[in-house]
Amino acid sequence: MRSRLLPVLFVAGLLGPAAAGRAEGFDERTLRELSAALACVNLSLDDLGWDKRPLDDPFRLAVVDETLDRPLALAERAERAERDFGAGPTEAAAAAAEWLQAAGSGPRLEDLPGSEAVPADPRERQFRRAAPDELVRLVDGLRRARALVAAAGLRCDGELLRRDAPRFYLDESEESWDGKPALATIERFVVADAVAAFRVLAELAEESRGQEPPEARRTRTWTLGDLTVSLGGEGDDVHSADVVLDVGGNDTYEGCRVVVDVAGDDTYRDAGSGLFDAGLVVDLAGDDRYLGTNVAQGAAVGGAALLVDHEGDDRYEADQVSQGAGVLGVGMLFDLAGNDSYRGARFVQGFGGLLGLGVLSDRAGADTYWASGKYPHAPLLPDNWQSLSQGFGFGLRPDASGGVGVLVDSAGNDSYFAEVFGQGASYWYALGLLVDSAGHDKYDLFQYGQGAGIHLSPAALMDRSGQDAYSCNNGVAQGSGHDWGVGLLWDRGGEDYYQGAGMSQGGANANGFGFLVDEGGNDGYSGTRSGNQGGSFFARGTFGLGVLLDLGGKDRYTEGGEDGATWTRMTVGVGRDVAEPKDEEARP
Amino acid sequence: MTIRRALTLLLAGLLLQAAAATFAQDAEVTPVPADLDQRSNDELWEMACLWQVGSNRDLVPAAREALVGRGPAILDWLIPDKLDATSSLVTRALTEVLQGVGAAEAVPRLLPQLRHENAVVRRNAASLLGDLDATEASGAIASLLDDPDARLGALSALARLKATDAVPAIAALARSDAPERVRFTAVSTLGGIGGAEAERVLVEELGGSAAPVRFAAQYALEKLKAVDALRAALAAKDRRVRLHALAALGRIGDAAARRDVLRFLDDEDPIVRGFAADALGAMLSDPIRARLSEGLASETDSFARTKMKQALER
Repeated sequence: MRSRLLPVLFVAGLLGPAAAGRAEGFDERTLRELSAALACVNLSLDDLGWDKRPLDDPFRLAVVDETLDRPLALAERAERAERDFGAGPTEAAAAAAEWLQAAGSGPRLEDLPGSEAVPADPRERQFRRAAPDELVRLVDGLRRARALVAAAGLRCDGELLRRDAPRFYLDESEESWDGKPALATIERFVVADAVAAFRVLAELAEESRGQEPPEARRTRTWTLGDLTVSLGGEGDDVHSADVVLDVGGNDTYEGCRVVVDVAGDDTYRDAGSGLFDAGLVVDLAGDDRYLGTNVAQGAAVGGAALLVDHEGDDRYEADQVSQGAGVLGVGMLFDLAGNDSYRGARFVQGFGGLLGLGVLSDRAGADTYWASGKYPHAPLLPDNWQSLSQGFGFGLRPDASGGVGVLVDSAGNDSYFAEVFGQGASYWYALGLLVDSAGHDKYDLFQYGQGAGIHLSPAALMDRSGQDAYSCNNGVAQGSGHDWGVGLLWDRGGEDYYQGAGMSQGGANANGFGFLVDEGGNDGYSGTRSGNQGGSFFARGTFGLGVLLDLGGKDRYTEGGEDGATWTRMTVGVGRDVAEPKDEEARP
Repeated sequence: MTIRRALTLLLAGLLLQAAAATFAQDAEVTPVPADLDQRSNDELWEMACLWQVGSNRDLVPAAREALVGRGPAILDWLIPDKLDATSSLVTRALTEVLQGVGAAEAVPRLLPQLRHENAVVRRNAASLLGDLDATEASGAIASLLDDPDARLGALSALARLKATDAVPAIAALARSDAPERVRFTAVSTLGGIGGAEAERVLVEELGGSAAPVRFAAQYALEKLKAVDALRAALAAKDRRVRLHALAALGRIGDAAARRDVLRFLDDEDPIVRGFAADALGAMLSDPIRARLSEGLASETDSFARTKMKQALER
């Protein structure tokens, strides 16, 4: 069994330039060329820090302010997301506090209930004598994580919190309701405790992959107070216990809290959920199916949740706030191998809501991401579906900032499909990041995304290599900043094709800044309507800055750009195409 | 609070939205209820404050029209209660209904609200008085420039009212340490009012430290077609001021500035040469064409060359 769990996939920093000692973010050449482009519109790099946050609220994350104040930090954050979330749950858990700026205020783990103090209950003592250590560890871990989740909401009005916090993102009705009382109590939510709970889950996941499975010929179940615990055997089981360790068979799980499944092609329903709770799934092998509705598959609202799938070609299906989603807490999904399919409606696949961090990290395989099909974007686009997914951060305009949504795909030729809002995008003081580290990828969107900051919000899409195709029917897209927003599309190499339509490929308006940086390869830039390929327009009494920077290759532009040229367009828009560097200028 | 509401708190009127709306033209349109006149004020107001795009494109104006049809009485229902709103969808509905009923009825009801204890009400009252062309209110509105919570509404109104008396106070605000949003709005307001004093301040602001303020000053000078002030600005020591002036003169395209701009075609800085070429492209003459051709023949910088070529192609 151990041989299946090769730790090679967990090598930290495998992809990131930080491992090679280079600082994160744009290199010197890119900064030099960006500076040269800005000079052509009477701006400098120092000018980029203009004020983009005229409003404040108690829920703002430091990483949002940082990237609005210093837009070039989006490149640093994209690489850092690749490093922090592209390795494994342990590294991700260690980094989560910083992304949520929540470090230091949580309780010490050793102060919480655990295996050190064996409860006096005779059934508990019997369980600890009879059950394998691995299962006891899972029970203790769940208790510790739950204690931390409870601590997070201890100072809140618990009833109000549980009733209304999920409604911000899950209410499908069109009824108006007053969210302000809920926000008032959420101000007292200690997100650091939810992060600490996530750390407990990550430790359990890490320990699970390194241990030999226990002997279990038949399935056994214990009841420990309000907790049910099962040890699954080699056969095909149907589990509904809170904590399950199953050593084999094609099993079905119904809403379990903590699951470690060693082998088999399994089906999970609503697993990996942290709805004011802690949830963990570690599946070590097999082609698995994950089915869910809301808050599932590594998703947390007011808690912590982690799903780690080590092997196989897996299918994930859910509705909202799922597949690596966090609201008032941390939710992450790690899939470490196989060609996987992710399907959801909205707020899925790396979604961060209010005080939340949501991460989907897929380490290998040719994967398909699909977010659409249920919620129309009426009244603006009633014939199109909302997505708000795939590295998307979402605040609650006008009352509360949003969180951080990250999608990291480390390898394979991947396909991303979303309609309205998605693919490295954000809305209202939130951060959205999509990072794809390798492969020939296709990004398909209808409107608002692919490195787009919308309404006082920062976002980025970074694709490190491959022949990629980006298509969006309508702006704001492909490195655009709309209404005090900042958006970056950063393609690091390969022959790429960009298709946009209005405020795309380095576009901005209304105090926003959008930039597309393509580092090399023979690329094609296509656009309809105005505002493409380094353009901006004056709106709401102020300017915007759109920049398209292509740093190499033989490229084609539909809006007048050409190799080796610098052009300006519209209000404050600039495009700069740089010929290949000479040998002595070549980058290391 | 609903997700849809959070997402539809978008400000209307942007080109982007107009473009997006084209996608929605074939969408199912929400029908206007036949009994609209029988609906309560609350129901009508809710419809009037929706986003007038896509499926709402018929419903919203019909609801606003129905409210207007209720005459001056609707003003007493709206003012001041509905002025406590930060959504631009609400303020747009207010503007249309108040304009529909008429300034003669609306202005006397709005004026006392400039002293309302709620800053949001004060700000919206000021902005609405501007929309209603209430020139008699400009003094009272200008007094809100010292009010940090209401001054953006006052600036918006003073621009519409072309309140020249307020220029010194607005100029002081532009030069102050107020947030950038306030300063660039003050600068834009000066552009809306105009006059020699406003132009002088705007030229000063071309050298400001914050990019949005500098560009707001440039656009204001363009809007005012302040050719003389901009020609004078070409002598500034600050390179950024000269570049803003060149850009603005190019957008105005007044041939009177040809000679002033032409001398920058020989500047040692290729960016300046490019800006000059761009501006000259908007004020072409045979001698200017000849100078641009001559410059292009010897130009080595790609940006300056591009600008010279583009100027000659106009």
